[in-house]
Amino acid sequence: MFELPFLILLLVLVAVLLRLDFIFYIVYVCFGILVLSRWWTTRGLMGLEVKRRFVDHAFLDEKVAVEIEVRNRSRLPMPWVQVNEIVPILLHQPSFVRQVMALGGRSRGVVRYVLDCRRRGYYPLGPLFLSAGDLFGFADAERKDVLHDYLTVYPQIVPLSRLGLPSKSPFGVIRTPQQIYEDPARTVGVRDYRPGDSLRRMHWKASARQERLLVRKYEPAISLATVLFLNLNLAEYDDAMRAAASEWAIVVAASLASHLVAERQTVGLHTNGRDPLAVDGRPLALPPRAGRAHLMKLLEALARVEAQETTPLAQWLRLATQDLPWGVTLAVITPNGDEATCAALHALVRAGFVVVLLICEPQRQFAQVRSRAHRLGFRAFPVWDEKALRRHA
Amino acid sequence: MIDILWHRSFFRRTLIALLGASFAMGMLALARAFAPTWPSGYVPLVLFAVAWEAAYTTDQLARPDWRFRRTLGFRLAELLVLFLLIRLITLGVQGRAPSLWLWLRRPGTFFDAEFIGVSLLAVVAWVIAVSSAGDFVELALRPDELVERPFSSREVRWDVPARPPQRTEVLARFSERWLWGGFVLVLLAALSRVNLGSLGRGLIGLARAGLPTDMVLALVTYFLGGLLLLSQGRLAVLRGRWQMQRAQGIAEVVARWPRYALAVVVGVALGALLLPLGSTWQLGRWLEIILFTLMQVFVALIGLLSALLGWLMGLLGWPSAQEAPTEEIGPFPLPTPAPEGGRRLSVPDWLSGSLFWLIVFVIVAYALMNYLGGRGLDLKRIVSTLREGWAFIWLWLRRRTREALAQARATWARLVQAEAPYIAPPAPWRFLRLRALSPRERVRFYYLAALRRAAEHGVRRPPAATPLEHAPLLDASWPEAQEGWEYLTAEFVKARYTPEPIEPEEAKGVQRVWEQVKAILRGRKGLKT
Repeated sequence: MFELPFLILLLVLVAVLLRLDFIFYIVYVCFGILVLSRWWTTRGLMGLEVKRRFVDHAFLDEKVAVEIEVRNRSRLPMPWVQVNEIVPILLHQPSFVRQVMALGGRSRGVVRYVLDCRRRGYYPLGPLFLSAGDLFGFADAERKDVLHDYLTVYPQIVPLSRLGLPSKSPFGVIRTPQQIYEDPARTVGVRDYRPGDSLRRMHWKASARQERLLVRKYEPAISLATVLFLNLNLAEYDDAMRAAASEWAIVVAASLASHLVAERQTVGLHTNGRDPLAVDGRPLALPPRAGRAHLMKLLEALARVEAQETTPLAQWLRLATQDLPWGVTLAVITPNGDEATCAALHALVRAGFVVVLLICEPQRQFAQVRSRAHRLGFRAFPVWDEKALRRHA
Repeated sequence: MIDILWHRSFFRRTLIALLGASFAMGMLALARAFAPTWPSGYVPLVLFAVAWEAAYTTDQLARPDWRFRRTLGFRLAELLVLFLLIRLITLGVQGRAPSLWLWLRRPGTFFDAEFIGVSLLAVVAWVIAVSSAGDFVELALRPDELVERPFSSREVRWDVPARPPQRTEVLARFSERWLWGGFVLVLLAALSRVNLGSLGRGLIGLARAGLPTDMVLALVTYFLGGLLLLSQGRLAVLRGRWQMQRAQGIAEVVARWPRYALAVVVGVALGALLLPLGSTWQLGRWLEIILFTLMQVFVALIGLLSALLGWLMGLLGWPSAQEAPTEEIGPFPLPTPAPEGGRRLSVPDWLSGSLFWLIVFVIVAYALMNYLGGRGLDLKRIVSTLREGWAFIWLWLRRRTREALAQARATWARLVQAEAPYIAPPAPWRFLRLRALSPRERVRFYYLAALRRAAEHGVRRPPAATPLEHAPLLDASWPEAQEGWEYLTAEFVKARYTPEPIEPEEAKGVQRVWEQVKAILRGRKGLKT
């Protein structure tokens, strides 16, 4: 590229040697433009303020409009600013949004784009890069704005009939007017505090003694709660349809949760999938609660969760059911009903739980699984949908 | 498909024409320096028109429907037409009618000196305009870049240009040509000042004559126009990049670009007018002009206001200024322009010269740093190494000096101590006003004063002893004042080491105890004596 410093040196030399005073005027102009360009570019870029505006939760197949506002706080105009936003490729193609704009002093520019929420997930928006430069090619500057924004797309919810389940609750648990879940008068122990636990359950003395938050465990009287156990251990899925079947398993979990909340039952969720927001990588566990607010929490968790190579279902079930009260219905959503899984579920039946097995991956010998489950004291349902699996593939 | 937005830019075409015409103008100014009778009035206009036509034709030839005209013959025919037009213009300027019969008989009369000279200059302007316009045609977006391609991650990108055009290289070529053209123009400017009479005494003795006006105009136009064209080249490079990256909003930036570039270049050019040029002091002159103009405006406003006031007073029936028996006020004395060398903002020559050389030094240093820095020489590292070295030497010097001073001070103190008897240092609170002190400070004072008196009696507090550790020694020395010492010590510790508030009453209590202790100490002193 052109070397203005070289021209300046040359002109100074010529002006001094030939005693041409006027050439210093040209030198001043060139020097002024060089210095001004560099100062202006750096200062101008630092004076830009960026904000991203959008609705951060969306249902499947919704369109989310994103607006990035670039405000120039300085009085100096910016001849050009390039905004380069990295966006999730599953929601927008191409995987970036680029726009250039000329910003006057104390003015603003807006970049708009639309995200097509075709797939559930927890998507980061950004990072956002701002590039600017001068008018002559003497200065370029770049700034990276890591705006921590995330978009949550809830999973699809399908009617139970599409899952091949009867329209009534498949778990044999009906809500009764005299429901008593736990008897607060009969404390059977303590357990670690989990987000969502009521403050009334806090065992302050034990917490102080143990220096960690503990809540009381009450003896259940009559349990009507259902806990969904979502197996997202990739190793247990068939290689050919891992992605599709695990996504479908999440859809099944979301649909069941939605159905049960609509039936005014309490629902909880345990999964061995990876939650990007989990602090220490612990499996996601939401205790059974009722109501729309809790359903949104469940859906949000199901939007975020990702399949991973993790603890097999049989081992994980033993640990995850330790804190659950007696009599809870466990709806286990898993790709297959092999012997190990059935044995683990049988142990749960013997421990006093009501168990329902939901198979989300096509199985040729499902009849065998069903009869095995029947023998072991629980019911098994096929919930796969060939069409949906093809769609998710 | 063609980059219409780029090819139809009137602004850029005009800049190219100015560049070509200004270079040829520089040559004309040189010619006029040697032959002052050379015509000049119409020539710049002719040169500008020729250069503009050349830039326009070059742009037009980029159109697909003109592709069959992109031949040498077409351009030569274009030049021929331009020559004929120039001939007609020169004839018109000379006031002569075309004499076809004469040209037929003596063809040489068609080519007179003025026509040949103007034609040569026109060719120079034409060539510069054609080459510059050619560069900018190359910088335009190509049809394959303008094609709207669907964007899909799974799509095979077969339609992407195999090798994007190297616009940076084209721009570098243009800027290099502009740079060396400017250098030649500066040399022409230097030559235009040659006093032929002094040539015999050698070139070093060039007369210090100022540059001719047309040369100054040519230089300014060439460099400012070139900078604006560089800005256009930068825009072309960025446009190509943005187009390749599928960025949106390019048209808005392109539309505003010339305005910004023009504002920056004109602003800097006006600012540079205020800086000193060699031994001159332009700022002083400009300030003088500005002040004089402001004064004129102020006087005019005052005159206007007084006339308005007089008219209003006349309407109210008051005697007008002419009728009032006041002493006659003469017209407001207008400041007259100072005669040359007379009442002028007097800035000493040494000041303007120093400022000038300071500015030049800064510019050269900055330009050198940039130039060498761009060639891999890490000047910042060299500077930081030098700075580190200097810091090391400075630290070493400071440490040595401090050690030597400490040693000297210790020696002196030893000498003084050996010869002089011990003199107790004066109490720092000797002239203190006790009432002016806060209760906390008063408590501290009473305790320390009591300690001082105890020290005068030989009971000194060891330097490492705390007040509580020293208290038993005091108790043992003055058992009759044991309670007093304990009270004073406890109050001192409270005042000195705790944030608890000290009430004035408490301070008074301490004072009473201190006076009792003092009395006891005095009694002991009396017994001793």
